Amino acid sequence: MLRRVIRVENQLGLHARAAARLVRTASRFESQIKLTSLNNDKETDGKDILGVMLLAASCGTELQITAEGVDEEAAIAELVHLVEENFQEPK
Amino acid sequence: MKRVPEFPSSKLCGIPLSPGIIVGTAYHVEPFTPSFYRLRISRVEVDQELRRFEEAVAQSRRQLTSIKQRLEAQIGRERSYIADVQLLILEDKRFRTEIEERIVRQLCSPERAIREAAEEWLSSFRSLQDPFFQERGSELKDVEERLLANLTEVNGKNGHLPEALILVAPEVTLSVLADYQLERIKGLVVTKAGAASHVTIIARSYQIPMVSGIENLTDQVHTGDTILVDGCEGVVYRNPSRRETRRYQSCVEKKQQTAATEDADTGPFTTIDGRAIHLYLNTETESEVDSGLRQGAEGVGLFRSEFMFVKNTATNLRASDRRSRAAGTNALLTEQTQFDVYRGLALAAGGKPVVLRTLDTGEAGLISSLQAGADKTSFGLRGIRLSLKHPDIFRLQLRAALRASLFGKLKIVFPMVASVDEVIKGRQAVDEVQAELQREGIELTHPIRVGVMLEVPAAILTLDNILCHADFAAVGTNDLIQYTLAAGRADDVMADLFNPLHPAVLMSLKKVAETSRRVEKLAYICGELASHPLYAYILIGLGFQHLSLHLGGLASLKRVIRAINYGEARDHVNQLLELPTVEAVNRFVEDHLAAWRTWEKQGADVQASFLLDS
Repeated sequence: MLRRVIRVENQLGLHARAAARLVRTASRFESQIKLTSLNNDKETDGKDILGVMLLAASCGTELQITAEGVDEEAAIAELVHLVEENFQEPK
Repeated sequence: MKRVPEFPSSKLCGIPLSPGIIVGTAYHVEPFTPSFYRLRISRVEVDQELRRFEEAVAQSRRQLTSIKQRLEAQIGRERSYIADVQLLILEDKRFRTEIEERIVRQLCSPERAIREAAEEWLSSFRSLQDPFFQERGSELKDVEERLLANLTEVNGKNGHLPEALILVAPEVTLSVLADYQLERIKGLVVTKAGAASHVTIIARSYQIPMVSGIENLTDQVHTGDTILVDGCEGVVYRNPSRRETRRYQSCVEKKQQTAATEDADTGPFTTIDGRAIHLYLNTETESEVDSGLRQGAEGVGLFRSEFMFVKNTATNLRASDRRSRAAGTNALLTEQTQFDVYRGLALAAGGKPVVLRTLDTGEAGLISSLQAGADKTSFGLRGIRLSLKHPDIFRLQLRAALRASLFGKLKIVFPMVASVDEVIKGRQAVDEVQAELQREGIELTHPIRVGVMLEVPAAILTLDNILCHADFAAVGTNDLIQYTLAAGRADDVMADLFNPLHPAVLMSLKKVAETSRRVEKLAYICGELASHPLYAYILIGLGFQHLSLHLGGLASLKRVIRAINYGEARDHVNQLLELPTVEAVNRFVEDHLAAWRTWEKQGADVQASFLLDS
C-alpha cells in the first residue's frame, strides 16, 4: 500500500471538472484508490465522482491519496502528478 | 410566417440578451420529471424492474455520450466536461448499488429507488459549507431526472421538431441546450438567465436571438405558437401580425445592407447643423473592438470586466475569499489572466481610449448575481462597494489594469458610486497600487484616468463634489432610470413606469450635462438608451456629445445623428423640460417627435419600397 499527501493548489479545488479528471484517471488502474481530505477527515473511493465532489476539497486542502493493488506505484504517481499540475487548468 | 394568426397578437417585454430577430415556432422545454409512478413492486417483478433500470442507465449513457460529443464539437473540450461529470455520476458505484439494493431488498420501484438514493446524496451536498461545492449537487439532479425520464420514456426531444425552433422555458441549462442540435435552435426565450450565463454566451456566439425576464412565460406562450423574438429590443410578439413580421423582416434586411455599405467609417459624426457627436463601443469582449473602430467608434466607452470573470471561472466571491486566505494571493482570476485581457483590449484599441469598468456585481456569487435585470433592483453590496469590501480582489484588478495601461490609453470607471467617499477610497486604492508597482520597478508613463458611473440618484445630487474627485463621468441610463423611478423594466406591471422621459430622469440628465460642462469634465452616456432614435435625439438635444453603445447599434445611430438638427433638438428638449407630467411629455412626443419614435419603422418602409423597386 502506498500513501501520499499533497496540497490541492488549483483555483477551484476539486470542482466538477477536476473531480472528473481525477476519477477518470483513478479508474484506469486496478488498484483500490482512496482519497482523504485532511482538512475535514472525509474519505472516499477515488473512483466514485459523487464522493470525490463531496470531499469539498477547495484550494489549499491537504489531500491524502492511498493506492493498494498491483499497479499502485503507477497509480499514485499519475494521481499526484495530476494534482501537482493543477489538473492542467490555467492558473 | 405564413401561418395566419388565430389569436390576436400580443407583445411581451423582457430583457435583450443576445441580439438578432427571428420568427419561428415556440417550443416548450419540458421538464424531465414524470407526473407519477408506482412506488412498490412485487417480489416476482424484481428481475424485470432491474432490467428496466439497466435499460434506463444504458439509454442515459448513450444520450450523455452523444451530448458530450456534440458539446465538444460545438463549444470545445473546455466546457464539455459537464456531460462527462454526468456520465461519471451515472457510473458511480455507490449510487448504482444503492439504487439496486432498494429495488431488490426493499421492493421499491426503480423510480422511487432512484429518487430516494439521489435525495440522500443531494442532502449531503446541501449540507456542505461551501456554496460552490453545494452547487455541484445540481449535476446529480440532472442525472436523476434523465434516468426518470428514460424510465418512463417521456423524452420528447427525438420527435419531430419544427424547422425554426424557438425554445421557451423558465430556465435553460447548458445540458438542455445540448440535447437539441444547436443549429436548429433559432431563438431562446426564458424567464431567468444571467447576462453572463453560459447559455447567454453560447447564444451570442451562435448569434441566436435571446430574450429573458418574461414572467409566467409558459402560460403566455405555448408550444406551436408562432412567435417573433427581437433580441435587440428584448421583445417577444406572440402570433405577430403580418405587418409586424414584415416590418421586422425589412428591418433585418436593412441592417444587413447597411452593415455591408457602411462598414468602414470614421468618427466623429456630425448633425445637419455641424455639431460633432463622438461614438464609443460598449463591449465585454476584445473581439468586437476592431469591428467597432471600423464603424467609426472612437474607443471603448465601457468594458464590462465582470463578464470575463464569469466566463472563465464558475466561482463566487465567498469561495474565493476563503481561498485567498488559504492560498495567499489566489483570488478569482489571477492578475496575469486579467492583465492579458486588458492588454489585449488596449492593443486592439490601438491608442484609442478604453474605459474599463471595475467589477460590477453582487456578492451572492458572480453567476447568480449577474442574472440581468432581476437582481439589479435588489439593493446593497455591489459595484464599487463590493470592491472596497474585498480589497484583495480589487487590488488584483487594479494592478492588472494599471500594468496594462502601459500598452494603450486605459481608463478606469467605478460602478454604482453613491457617495464622494467611495470615489476617494477608490482613488486611494489606485494610488496605492501605483506606488506598489513603482516599488516593483513598473513606472506608469501617464497617470491613469479614474471616472465614476452615474447610476444612483445620490451621485447626481452630489455631482459637483463627485466631479471634484473624478476625471470623468459615464451615465448608466438603465440603472439611473430604474433607481430614480423605483421601477424596473423587466417587470411587466412596471413597464409603463420605466419611462426614460419621466421629468425626473430628464432633469437628472440635464444636470449631468450642465455640471460636466461647467467643471469642464467629460460626461458621456453609456446606457443602451442611445440606441433608440428618439432617446438619442433627446440626449443630443440635452447637450451630450459622447455616446457609447453596443456594436450592433452603431450603424443605425450614425444615420440618426446625420438626420438630427442639434439646434432644433435643443429647443425641443428645453420645451420638454418645462412639462410637469408624464402625460404631457408623452403628448409632446406624439405631437412633435413622433417621427423619431417611429424612425425604425420609417426606415424599414423606405427600405422595403426600395427593395420592391429594384
